[in-house]
Amino acid sequence: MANISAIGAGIYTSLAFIDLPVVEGTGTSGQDVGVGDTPAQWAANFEIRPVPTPDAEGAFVPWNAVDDARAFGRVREFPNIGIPANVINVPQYGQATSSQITGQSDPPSMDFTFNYVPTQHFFIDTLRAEGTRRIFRVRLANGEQVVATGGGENESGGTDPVGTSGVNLPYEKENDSGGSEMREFSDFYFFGSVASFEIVPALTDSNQLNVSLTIDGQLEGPFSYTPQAVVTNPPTYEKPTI
Amino acid sequence: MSYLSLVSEFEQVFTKPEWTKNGIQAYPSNFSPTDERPMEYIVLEVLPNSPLMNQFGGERQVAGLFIAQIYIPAEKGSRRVFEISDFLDDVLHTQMLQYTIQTASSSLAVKGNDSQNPALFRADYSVSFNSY
Repeated sequence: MANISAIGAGIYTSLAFIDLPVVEGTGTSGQDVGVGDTPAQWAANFEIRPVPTPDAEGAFVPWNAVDDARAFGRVREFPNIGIPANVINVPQYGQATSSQITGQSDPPSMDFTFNYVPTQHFFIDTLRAEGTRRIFRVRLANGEQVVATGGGENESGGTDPVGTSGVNLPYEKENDSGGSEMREFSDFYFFGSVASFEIVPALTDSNQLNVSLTIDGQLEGPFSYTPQAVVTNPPTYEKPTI
Repeated sequence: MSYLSLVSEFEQVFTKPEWTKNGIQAYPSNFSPTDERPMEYIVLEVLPNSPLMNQFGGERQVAGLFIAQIYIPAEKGSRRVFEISDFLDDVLHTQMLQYTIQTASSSLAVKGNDSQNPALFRADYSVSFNSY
């Protein structure tokens, strides 16, 4: 199981999105992303795993980034990822203590902070100006992952299209029993759009960029790949199970 | 960014014409030249002693202090120390160096006669830096 199974600091957590329109129902691969697609289909917009040729123990299993996957890069602070509570106190006549019920939750604004590099983050303001809806992925990772090179071969031996630089890909290596092992991570998806873009020049540290993303609907996760006993079989993409 | 690249980036500053035109020899710390040292020189120290964790992704970032020990002849007044500090400011004060280092504002601490060699007068020019 490659979902995170131990406590740790999420040093290698990343944010990425797919630069394709979002449609209701099911999407068409390479053209748009469907709200009704399965999580495995969402993941397939970010990365694919060609059928590997079995190799020696410790050899990388190649993963490729997909054309329209984009990394935000240089994330300085993540917000709370999820849906906040909206607890309503309900007075109870004749009782010393009121009761509480869970009301309809307000969708959160997710405020991210970046170490601002204009040539790297210019696209965020384009997203804001267009107000376009996209699918976003937060990959929570405590250990180092393979990073897409954006036009060339990455560390795993996979090939990445131009523009995908910085997208996190699974770190999977063959084991001694013909299968594979993967460094743990947990993916969370949400549909939303970029609501704000604010630059903060700094005197003693890096310049910063504050960006708010609005969520449209629920946050979905945690998902991760479960490698199979045979390395040539594709891993399943699923939530943790009991 | 590696620790070695940090030192190299600072040392390269002292190989450029902007510094060499001053005619002041710069030595790395823990170095004994085969020739006798001149009566006026500086010794470079890089102290990358403060890790920065301000970005996700595991990229190594570090903050620290660069110190140039300034030596001039004793008993000749301290004015030359300030003049050499201005030379150092020209190449190190609030600069983006070659690759990853950004320096901040500098400061100067006058130490007085050198304890190792009383014929020399010492001051420490220091500037903090971040390496992203």
